[in-house]
Amino acid sequence: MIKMAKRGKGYKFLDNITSADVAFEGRGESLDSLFENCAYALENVMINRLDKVSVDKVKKITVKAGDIDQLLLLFLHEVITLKDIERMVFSEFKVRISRDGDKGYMLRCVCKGSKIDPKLHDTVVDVKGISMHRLKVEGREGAYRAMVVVDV
Amino acid sequence: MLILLFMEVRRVGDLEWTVDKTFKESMKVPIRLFGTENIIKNLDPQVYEQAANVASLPGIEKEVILMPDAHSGYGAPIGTVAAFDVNNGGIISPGMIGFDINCSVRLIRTNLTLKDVKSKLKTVVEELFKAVPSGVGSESKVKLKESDFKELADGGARWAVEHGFGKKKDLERIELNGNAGWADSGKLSKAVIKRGLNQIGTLGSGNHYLEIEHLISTNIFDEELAKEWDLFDDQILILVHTGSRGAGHQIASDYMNSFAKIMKSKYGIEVPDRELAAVPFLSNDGQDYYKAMGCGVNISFANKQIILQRVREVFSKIFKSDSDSLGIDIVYDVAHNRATLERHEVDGEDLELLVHRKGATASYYPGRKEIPALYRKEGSPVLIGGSMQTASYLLVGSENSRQTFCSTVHGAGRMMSRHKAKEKYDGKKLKDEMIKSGIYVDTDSLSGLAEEAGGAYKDVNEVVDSVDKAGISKKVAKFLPLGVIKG
Repeated sequence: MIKMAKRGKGYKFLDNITSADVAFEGRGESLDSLFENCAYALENVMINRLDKVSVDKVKKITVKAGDIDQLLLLFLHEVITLKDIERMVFSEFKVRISRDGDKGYMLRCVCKGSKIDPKLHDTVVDVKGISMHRLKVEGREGAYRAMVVVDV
Repeated sequence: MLILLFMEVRRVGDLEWTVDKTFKESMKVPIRLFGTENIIKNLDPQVYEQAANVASLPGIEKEVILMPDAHSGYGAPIGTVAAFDVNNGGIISPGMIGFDINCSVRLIRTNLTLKDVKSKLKTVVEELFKAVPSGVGSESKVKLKESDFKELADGGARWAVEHGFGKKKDLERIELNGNAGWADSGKLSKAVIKRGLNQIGTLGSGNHYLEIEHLISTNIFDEELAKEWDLFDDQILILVHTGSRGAGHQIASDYMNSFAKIMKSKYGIEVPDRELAAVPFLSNDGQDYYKAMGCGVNISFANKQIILQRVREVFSKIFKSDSDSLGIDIVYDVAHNRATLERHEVDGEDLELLVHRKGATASYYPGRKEIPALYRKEGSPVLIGGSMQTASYLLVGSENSRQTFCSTVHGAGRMMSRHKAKEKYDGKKLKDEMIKSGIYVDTDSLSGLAEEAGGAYKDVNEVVDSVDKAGISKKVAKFLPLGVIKG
C-alpha cells in the first residue's frame, strides 16, 4: 500500500529487496515532491506516526551533486546526519531542486521538526547510512519514482 | 544439486555447495556456500546476485564464501567473506565492510549464579537500561572535546582504559588487543568527529543489544576450554552487541561516496553495483580509507569499554561488591564487519590478502598470530549472537577455517524483512510473551522490538551446527537469554 505523505504521491516499503536492511520506493509528480517523499519514508523508518512530531525547529539543507541519484543520496544523508548530530526528526520537508549551471543539480530544503524524545515519539530503528545499492531516480515530470535501500 | 532460479547450486560436500562462475559473466571466481540443504534452499534470491557482484571485483582470490547465516543486504550479502590479493591489484571496498565498521560482540563473565541474580533480574535490566543510552536519537553521557575524540579514534580500547573506562587486563581479551594500530584520525572528516562525539558509549538500536545470559552444564560442549576461559555451570554472563555508531557510519559514507566518484576515472575500476565502489588497497586512496576504517575499529572497541564500565558500576551497586570480587571480566570481543590484512595460503602460494568480512566473524585456527596471546594456543574465541529470544554461542576457531580465510558465521541471520516482521508481530504482545517465558525485556521501542522477533531469524542452532560440523569453528558453550535491553 502506498502511504500518503503530506505532499506528493507518497512512498511504500519494499519487502523483497533486502532482508537485513530496509528498502522503500518514493514517488512524486515532480523531483521536488519525490525527494520530499523519500525524506518522509526515511523518517518513517526511524519514527512511526510522523504526524505526532511537532514543528518547533527549522533546519536548512543545501547539497550539490553531478547527477540526480547522487543528489538524492546526499540529501538523505544530510537528514540522518542531523538526526545523529542534533537529534532532530522532521515531519515537514520543503524541497527545491534547480540546475547548478552545467555542473549538475543543487537542492535546498527547509526541514521542520523537533528534537527526538522517546517519551513523545514512537521510535523504531536508527538508520546508519544511505546505500547506493539499486539507488535510481526514474521517470519524467508528472511521474517520478526512486528506490532507496538504507542500512539499519 | 539444487536448481534455483535457473541456476545450479552444486553440492560439493555434506555442508558445502558451489555456484560456478558461469552464473554471471563478470564473475572472476565461483561462490562457495556452507549450510544444510534447508538453509541453502531458503536463501533469498538476492543473495546470489549480490555475491556474484562481489565475485566480479578486481583482485579477488579463490572464491566468494557465503556463511550459513547469509542473507541479502546492500552491495554484498550479510555473511560474506571475500579476500583480495593486495599485491595483485586487490581492492578495498567500504561497501564490502558495511556502514557499521567493527560491529562486534563482547562476552562478559561474572562469578554470579542464577540464584544470585533471579530476584534482582528486573532491577539489573532496568538499571543497565538507564546507564547505557540506547535507541533512535540516544545521546552520549560521556562529554569529550574534539581533540579527545581523535585520541580515542587513534587509541581504541587502550585510550578508554587510560581514561578510566575499564582495566588494563581487559585489553588482553579483545581481538587486536582493542587497538587497530594502523588507524590515523587525520583521515577523518569533521562530520565523523561530530557524529561520534554525540554517540560514544551508546548502544544503538535494531539488532544491537545488551543481554543477561545463563549458562547451564548441558550447554557446555567443550568442558576443558570452558574451564580454561573461566566459564562454569549456572553462570551469569553479559553479551553486548554494538559497533562504531555514527562515527563509523560517517567514515563508511565519506569513503563510499568518494570511491564511487573516482574509481573509474582514476583507477579504471568498474563494479556491477555502485555500493561496492572500490579502489586498489595499495593506492593512496585505499590506504586513506584503511586508516580511517582503523579509527572505526578503535571507536567501536572504546565504545564497548565505556559500556563495560557501566556494566561493572551497575552490578557493583546492585550486588554491593566491587567488580573484581564479582569477577566481571571480558571473555572475548570479536568483530564481524571489518577488512583485515592477513596471510593465507591459496593453491599452495602464501599471499598477502585483505580479507573483507561483512557479517562474518574471524575464526582463526590454533597458533595464528592474529589471535591474542592469551588464546593463541587454543584458537580464537568466536561469538555468535542469536536473536533476542534464542541462544547465543561461544565457539573456537578450528583447522577447517583454512578453507574460509579463517572466517565463520556471525549470528542467526534474518530471514524476514523488518517491514514484514513489524506486520506479523505486535511489540507489546511480544514483550509480554518474553517476560512470561522468563526473559525480562526493556526497550525504547515496541515497534523496534517487533522487528527483532525471534521468528524473523533463522534457527541459530542449525546455523551454528553447520560450521561446527564443517570443522570451521567448534562449539564451546551455548547461552540462554534471561534479560534483554534493546534500543
